[in-house]
Amino acid sequence: MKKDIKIAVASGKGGTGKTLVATNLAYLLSKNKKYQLFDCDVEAPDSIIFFSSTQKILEKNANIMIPEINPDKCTYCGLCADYCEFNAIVIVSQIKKAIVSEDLCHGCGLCSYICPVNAITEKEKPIGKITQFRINNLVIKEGRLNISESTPSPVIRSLKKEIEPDNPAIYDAPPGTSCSVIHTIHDVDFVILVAEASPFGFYDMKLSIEVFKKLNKKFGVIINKSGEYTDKIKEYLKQENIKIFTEIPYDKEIAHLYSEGKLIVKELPHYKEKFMELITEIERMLQ
Amino acid sequence: MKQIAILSGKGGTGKTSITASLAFLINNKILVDCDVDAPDLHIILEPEILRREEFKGRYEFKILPEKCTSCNKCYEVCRFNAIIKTGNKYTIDEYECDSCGFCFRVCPEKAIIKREKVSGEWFISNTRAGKFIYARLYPGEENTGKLVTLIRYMAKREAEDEKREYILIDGPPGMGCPVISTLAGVDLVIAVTEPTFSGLSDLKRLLKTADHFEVKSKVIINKYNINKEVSHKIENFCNENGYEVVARIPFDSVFMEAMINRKSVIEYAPSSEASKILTKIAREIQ
Amino acid sequence: MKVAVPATGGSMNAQVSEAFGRCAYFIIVDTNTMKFEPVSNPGVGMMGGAGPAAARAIAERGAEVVLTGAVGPNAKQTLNSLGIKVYTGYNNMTVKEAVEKFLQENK
Repeated sequence: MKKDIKIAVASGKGGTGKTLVATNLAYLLSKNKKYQLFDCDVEAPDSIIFFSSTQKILEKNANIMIPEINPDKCTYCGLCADYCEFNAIVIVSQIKKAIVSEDLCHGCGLCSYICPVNAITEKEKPIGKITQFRINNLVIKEGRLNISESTPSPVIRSLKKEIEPDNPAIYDAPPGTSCSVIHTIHDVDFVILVAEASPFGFYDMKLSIEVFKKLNKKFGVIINKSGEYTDKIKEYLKQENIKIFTEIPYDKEIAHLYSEGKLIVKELPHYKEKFMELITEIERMLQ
Repeated sequence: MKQIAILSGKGGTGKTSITASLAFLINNKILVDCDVDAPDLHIILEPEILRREEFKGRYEFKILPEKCTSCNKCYEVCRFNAIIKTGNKYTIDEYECDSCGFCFRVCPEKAIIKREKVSGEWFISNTRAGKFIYARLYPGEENTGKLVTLIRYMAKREAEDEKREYILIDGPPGMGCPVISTLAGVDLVIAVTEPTFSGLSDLKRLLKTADHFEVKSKVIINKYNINKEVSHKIENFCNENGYEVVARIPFDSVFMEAMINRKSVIEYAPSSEASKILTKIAREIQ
Repeated sequence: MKVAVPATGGSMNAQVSEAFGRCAYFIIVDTNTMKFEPVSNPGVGMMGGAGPAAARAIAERGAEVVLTGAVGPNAKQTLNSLGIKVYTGYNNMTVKEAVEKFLQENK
């Protein structure tokens, strides 16, 4: 694999085992090499839970620039409000009020640019936190969306700026197929899709596959919580010529370890083996 | 008329499976799936579609190549890296574009157009469990509260027309505006949680949001025996803060089996332990 | 004073809408004369920011108070910034009943 490879781990839905795969892979891959693990699930980042005794090496805000309207200069013409696609500005000339709804603002900068009297300046607004932790060869970079915020994309953008371009990286993507997932994976070399072996999982997997094809991404599938329904999924994937990496069975032991924040490759040797095989398969595919 | 929303802080807690059974246990109702990003209820309910509508959720912006003079203005102003330059050709990356319209407003040649984009679709249908309204946002679209609000509005109209007592809502996971649009104005939130490391903090966030909207919340701890210690922590938190725990459901393979057979648990295994608990939940919330 | 009530219809007998931002109408009631003006909600068709758009519509007409079932955080913030007081909990009643209740409770 090339030295600066970027691999994303994605899933159709929450709870399928994406973080399980991303964290265990990152742990094993970083044993012999410097690796970065980006937790891009900024609404609920939980990769860090699986790594104890890490050292926090950085903490900073993820910001967007939002407008501040100077009431002394504002003529209440309403142009900024008319042009704002997100209705984040309300101008009521009758009572001389110019109000910015910070929660709706996307930080695009249009209003300050077009104000005919230069009454709008911009200020930084923190919308999330970027934190970096190190344990041995692994640097974990996490984005966390602040509680009152509703758009994750700007935090993901800020987080990805923290990349060390010469070192390989794993991206733990947010679940689903929304635009925050696309922002996470659009520049990666490869996607590992974790699918749950159930009718819901199957449906959601197909949605994800649709997106990867549209983005022209190379990808392969891990079937998690494998059981009765697995054959149906395998049949479909074989038909579509999609690579199946491995299956992880529906295992209460895994669920328990996961709920304790433990890495299964550390606690259960047969899973360490399985993940080592997975790594070999991925390397083979990316030759 | 009472509106009940079933939500979870994070995906994978079993919210949709539980809602599917409740749909059969609560009769005089309209059912809505507000998880428009990844709707799953229809997989179990096998709906017969009565009405399908397109959803125009946002605007999209496109550069008309015949008018573009490659002046670079759009590239200079775009903060989202959405303007792609290939030689002299300029295009807008539909996935990176934030739809802010900055380029549209500043293009000196008026070479950029703005138009409504069909970003999803919604359906009114009939199912074994009664009338069912659901929607789907196309992949890559931003989760928008507008679609959720729209189908909730449709559900309210149906409930009024057919004189239904309840609207049962399968909500989206996580936080953010689709969850808020699901919560606003409901009478009861059922928060489904599971005892994982982050389960408690996800639950707290959800309950806090419901409180903010002055909506009453009750809690279901699903798969509680995966980690009894964490389940206890969750129960303690609920007790200390006045949230009623209406049920503790043990990890049960019958949920997966029922799903594989395209049935709700209550249909598939009506005398199972899980079904007994689900029946109790339905009674409690009506 | 002028009171704004989000409603499902254009009259005093319409039901109070349970949510502020996407209701069909606002009824602006002058509590001195009990005369009312129905205003179509500009927020109804919007993709986002319906609340603030609605807030603007009622602020332009001089409303000082809003009576509603519930209100979203964006709308609430905008209304407060505009100097408009928001009272929630006016559920399952007509606009007329809501105004009467408000006047009773705030003699």
